[in-house]
Amino acid sequence: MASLIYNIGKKEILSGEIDLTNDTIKCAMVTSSYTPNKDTHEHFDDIDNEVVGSPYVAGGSELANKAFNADNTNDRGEFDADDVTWAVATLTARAAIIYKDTGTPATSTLIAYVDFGDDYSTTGEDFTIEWDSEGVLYLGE
Amino acid sequence: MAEVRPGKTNLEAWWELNEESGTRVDAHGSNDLADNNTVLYDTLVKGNAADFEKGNSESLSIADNASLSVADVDFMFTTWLKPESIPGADQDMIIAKGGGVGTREYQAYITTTGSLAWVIYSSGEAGNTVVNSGAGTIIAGTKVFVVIKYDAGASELSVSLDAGSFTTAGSAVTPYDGSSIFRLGGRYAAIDSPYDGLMDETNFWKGILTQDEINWLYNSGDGRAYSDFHPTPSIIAGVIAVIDPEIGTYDTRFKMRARKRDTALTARVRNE
Repeated sequence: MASLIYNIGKKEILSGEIDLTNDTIKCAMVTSSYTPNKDTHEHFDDIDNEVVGSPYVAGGSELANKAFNADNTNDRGEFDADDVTWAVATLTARAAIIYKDTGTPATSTLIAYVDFGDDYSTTGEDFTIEWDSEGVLYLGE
Repeated sequence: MAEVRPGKTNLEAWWELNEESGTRVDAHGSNDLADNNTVLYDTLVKGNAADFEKGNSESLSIADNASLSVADVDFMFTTWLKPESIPGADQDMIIAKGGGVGTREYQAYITTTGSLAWVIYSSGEAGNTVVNSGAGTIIAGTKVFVVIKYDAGASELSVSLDAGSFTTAGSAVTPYDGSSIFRLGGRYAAIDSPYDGLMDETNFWKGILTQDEINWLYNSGDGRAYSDFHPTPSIIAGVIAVIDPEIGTYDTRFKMRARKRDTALTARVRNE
């Protein structure tokens, strides 16, 4: 399943209901058993098969040091953040879910599904998602 | 060829060797290698590789430390080589930990017959065990993936090329744990038997990988970078575009004309 931006996420970024600068944007992880649906999956309570493992906490981790860039070479606006690491982790993950966390899953809007392309496992080692050097996601032409 | 990504539990060091000169950073641990006599670079399997010039006695090194010391434990190195020549005499060192006679620990080198020799030393010199990949298996100008390992439980020393089957020899000795310098591309405190050629994506494990894990590192000849151990997703695209509006200019004018016409007609009727 390729990476995607949920339709509700596109809408709420445009409407300003999602404020990437000021809202709490989190990165959760799911196993390969989760099948994203960009039409019907709107909030975090639509997500199933979230990763279970140590020290991963349900709901994932907040994206730190969010940054924005107007990329005039590629004609797009980019959203970036620090890589996410779960230290000394024992878990298996297939994809990340980027979402706006309100503290309530039923109102926490989904933004993006980020496919790793394969299952990644660690056993007592750091688990890191290394974002693309260009960022996490972009709006472009 | 089945592939399984190994865990990093037993990984001690991973030198990507992407730097163009100077210190080569250990992407995993803390075994950064100092540059001796200016090792430059070229490309090989993943980005840049270190390019050792034999005539200039170039090598990369670090002082003895617990991470790179072995004694009688399982351990393993993998590396990518592309020799620029095969030695006419003596040997060209690939990986070595050892000083002069009496302080040698382990060495891997290319012989004059174009084979990869892997040696461990007991008590620094006396009593050593050698396993050899066979004459003509290392060829100047040809890229090769090398795996060398010591299996403490089985007391065996093994070498494999391009993720093929291992050539193995039983070992009557166990590796010496001394205090000698560790080098890539040479040996000893004063650089001896320097290597001539490229070296890339070199790693050291305190453990032995399975064949499927070795296959993953080999990656059908394309190799792996350290970043392949964790997800590195591409940036996600969201297209933003203007939806073409419908412009009402014609209708507005028509309505205005019609309104003017109706007003004029009404006035005319009233006048009549």
